[in-house]
Amino acid sequence: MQIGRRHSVWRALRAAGCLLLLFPAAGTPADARKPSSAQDLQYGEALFHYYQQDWFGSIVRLEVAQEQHALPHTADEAELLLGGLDLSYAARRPGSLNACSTHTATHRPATAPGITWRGSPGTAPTRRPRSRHWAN
Amino acid sequence: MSSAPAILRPVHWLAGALLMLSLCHAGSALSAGNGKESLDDQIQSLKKDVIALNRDLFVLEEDLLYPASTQVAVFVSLDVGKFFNLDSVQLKIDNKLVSSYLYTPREVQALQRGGVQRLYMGNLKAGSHELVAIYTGKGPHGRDYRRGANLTVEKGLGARYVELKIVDNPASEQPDFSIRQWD
Repeated sequence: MQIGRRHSVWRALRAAGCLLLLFPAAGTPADARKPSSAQDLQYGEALFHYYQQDWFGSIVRLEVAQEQHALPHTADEAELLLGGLDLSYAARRPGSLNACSTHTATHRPATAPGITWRGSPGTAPTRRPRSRHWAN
Repeated sequence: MSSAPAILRPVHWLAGALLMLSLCHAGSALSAGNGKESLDDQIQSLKKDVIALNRDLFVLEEDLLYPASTQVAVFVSLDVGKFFNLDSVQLKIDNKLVSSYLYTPREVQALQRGGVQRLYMGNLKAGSHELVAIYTGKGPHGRDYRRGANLTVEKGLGARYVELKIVDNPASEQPDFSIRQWD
């Protein structure tokens, strides 16, 4: 009887472990999954252009930020985003992203919110709607 | 047996001709493939050049117009944005209006998803400066909102980055407006 109970406890623990492995977010508190404030302003600026489908603006800002060493916290995320954008913009071959993605995958998961990979050049950059400056 | 080569001779000719034709076709297809690949490479390198040129111009413009000793950049960020739908931001430095920006729905969505907008970039002398930001938009229950935040910024020798933060406050169900200085 005791052996049977021990087996059932062990089975439950194993199931919980598998669930945690499959859904790591389930083990983190809700606040940790909330979008946090910007860690690097320049990376946030590139995301601002990225979310408006201004791929070119996003690429240029990421490259400028990399050149100015302005990404102390989000260097990996920026490199991964830049790789995806380069692929989308057809300025890089798919094979050249392997090293970057494997490094990032082993180092730290990409946490940029809402990144979707657009591998085909068919998703061409669209013109961003201009905002109105009514005084300057 | 001696007549077999004579019979097969036209077949040989035909086979040879077909082989030559297929070789020619394969050769032309290969050369066309090479040409296409090289065109792809050319376009790819051209795009890389355009990006590199734009990056260099961006850096050059920033260095020339806004030297690090006087540079001030003001950014806008929005955390969640459930209690505030941003419409516009006015920025005053030392009681002088330096920027007014009206947001499109797409830009507000980009801010809500984690983007940070560079609202203003300019030059300031070393010393203390008063920075005032006035936000307008829709608050909870669709009410019109007009709020302000101010901060005295100490400008030193290096570039100064300032972030205008709009953060939801779940306790009061109101948006919080704050200004943060980055080192």
